[in-house]
Amino acid sequence: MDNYQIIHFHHPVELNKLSFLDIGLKKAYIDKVITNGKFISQYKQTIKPRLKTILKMAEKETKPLIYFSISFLDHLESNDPDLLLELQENVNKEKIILIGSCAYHSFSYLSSHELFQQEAILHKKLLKRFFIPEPLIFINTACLFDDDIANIVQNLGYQSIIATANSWHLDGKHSGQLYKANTSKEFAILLSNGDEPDNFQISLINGYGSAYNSNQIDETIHNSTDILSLFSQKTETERPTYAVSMPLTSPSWEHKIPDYTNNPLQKALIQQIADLFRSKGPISDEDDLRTLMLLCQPENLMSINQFSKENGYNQFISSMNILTDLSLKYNK
Amino acid sequence: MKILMIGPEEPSKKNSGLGVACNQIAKELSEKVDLKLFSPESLEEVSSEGKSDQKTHTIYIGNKLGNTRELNADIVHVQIKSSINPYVYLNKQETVESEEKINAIQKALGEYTESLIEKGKEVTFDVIYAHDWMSIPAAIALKNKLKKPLILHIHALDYDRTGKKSNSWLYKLEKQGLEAADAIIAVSNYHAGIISKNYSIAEKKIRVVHHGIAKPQFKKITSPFEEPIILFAGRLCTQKGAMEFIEIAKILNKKAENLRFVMAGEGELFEALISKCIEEGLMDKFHFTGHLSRPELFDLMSESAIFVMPSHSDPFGLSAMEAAYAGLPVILSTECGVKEVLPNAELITKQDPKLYAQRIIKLLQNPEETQSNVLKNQESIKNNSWSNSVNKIVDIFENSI
Repeated sequence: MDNYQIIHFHHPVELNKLSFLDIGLKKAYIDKVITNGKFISQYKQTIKPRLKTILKMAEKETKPLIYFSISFLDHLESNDPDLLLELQENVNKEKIILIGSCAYHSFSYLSSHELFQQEAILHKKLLKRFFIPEPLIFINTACLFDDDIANIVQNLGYQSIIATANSWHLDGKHSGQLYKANTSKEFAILLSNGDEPDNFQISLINGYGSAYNSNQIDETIHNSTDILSLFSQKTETERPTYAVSMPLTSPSWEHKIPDYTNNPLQKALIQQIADLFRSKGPISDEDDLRTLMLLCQPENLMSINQFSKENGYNQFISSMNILTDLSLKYNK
Repeated sequence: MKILMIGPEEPSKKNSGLGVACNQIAKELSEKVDLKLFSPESLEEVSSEGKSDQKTHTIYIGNKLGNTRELNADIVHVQIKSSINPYVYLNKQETVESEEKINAIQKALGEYTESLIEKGKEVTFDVIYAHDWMSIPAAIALKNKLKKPLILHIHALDYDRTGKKSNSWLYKLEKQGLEAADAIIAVSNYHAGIISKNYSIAEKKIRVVHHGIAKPQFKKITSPFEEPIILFAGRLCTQKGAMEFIEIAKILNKKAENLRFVMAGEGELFEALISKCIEEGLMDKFHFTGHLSRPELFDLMSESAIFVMPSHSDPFGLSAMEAAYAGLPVILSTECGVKEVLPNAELITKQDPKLYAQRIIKLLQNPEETQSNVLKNQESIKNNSWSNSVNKIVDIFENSI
């Protein structure tokens, strides 16, 4: 049975702690020293061996499917440009297939369509700095609760999207089943993580830095069919529409969506980012957009949850201070 | 004269105003008397500051008595459950939980008291000088054992924290301490009245000593905001009127007044206050700072336009005096002791957010009058030093021997 592993490589970005009194002082939002330090501490033991596995798979022509976040590629470029070069060569020869998503693996879609769109655009744009081929498949397992999100992805030139099967809603649909989005133009959705695998399955794997439970890369897999051709398979009947009423995380993701959104502190931050777009209009500065995306990183949202009150409060206050500092620019 | 003082030595995020006052008093007292200080501290504070002072004996209190946020939340919780009130319908499980909390706090207090008594036996002194409820059991035990006079300095009572007279174990403990004390120091006439009326203590036993002010240096800091900052600073709890401050912000926001609201401090209502701000759509104008160090608080004061203290019951309200010293107009509830040293503060007689909102607008619309009152308040507190306050405390010690 074919098994399409979507392997994620991401490196979460650490934000500086901003106090209320730091607002207006033009302090840096990103803690580059800690962020890079964390990458270095993980590189030799964890990251490099896993990237080497990907290169081996490429050599064996198994065409591994890889999502690279931009923060991951930036750190790889700084710390091991030679290995990045090897990856680039393999991607450019189409021995590694790029998967598109959000630049910083964030939950920006929970806050604002515009921020999500900008993050998806940024991913595509910055991937071009590293690789020649563009990704054609988009993965954001949680985002399809909203038809507008599907429209945004389609308008960015993606041919298809991989999303989580909402099995309780779809009454036992299978991983690998093909649907269409509720968009005006035909847009294919391939379900991952359904009740049971059909004749093939989609697995979501943590290469490094994402919250997928599984980090078992199966380098022996050799699929008989190219994943892109799955989307163009002819069916006798029209593909059914896939639409869900709420954001869903993949069952293989470590936490559920409410863990990121239901605490008052989390709600306040998400709401405030949304309000920023509503009240200030388009945010033009790429660095500011990047900061907003980083505030929506799963790690940041998770850090302001109810289970770590002391740190949660401080993390929340710091995030809100960053947001206030940033929004002051758009008052003028 | 040898004084055994029981109370916090350093201000910290765990003890707020009480810590500031005790710190200043201890500093001044050590210049005037032979002082031995028994200071309750959590291990975390001791390890983070790494200090050791010959005159200070630190008594470890662990987390249960060290975490003020949790402690206050627990005490309020316990009192709701343990007094006769509309909550009698609460289910059995919650009652059991509250009993466990009572036991945990009382057990921690018992352990702390035992350590204090042991330490107390090792030093010689003429007077026991204790601060607030945590010191009371040990102070009474030492008084009875060593036959020394007990001076009890009251910074806040269960009455203030819960907003009413209750029949809780804490109230009983405080009453026991107030009755056992040879003299009681109240931080204001307002609070002396509460001690006398609600704890049935003879007025002649109570002396009022207002807090001093350390006269901090204020830096000139320009606010990054175009809008004036309306400041609340204190523990985020019912006693301080934290929820009312949000109501005030809501009213002014509806009136389209272009203002920023800043809430400095932390406390058990933090999460509820944030939820309230979200519900009221205030988050873009409302800011929480969390705990601020003293210099940070003073920096914030220098950025602010008006200081508001809508307390339900505030024995003194040191931060209002500091704000006045910083040149801020202050709006106070009449249930604040600090009004006695700030004759030109704006006083609000009823706990009505509309009245506070009106007064904020008035102050902003009448800058000349506001500035004149600011100067008068600054003039009235210029002699309120901690040294003067401690001189009065020493007089009380001398009269008790």
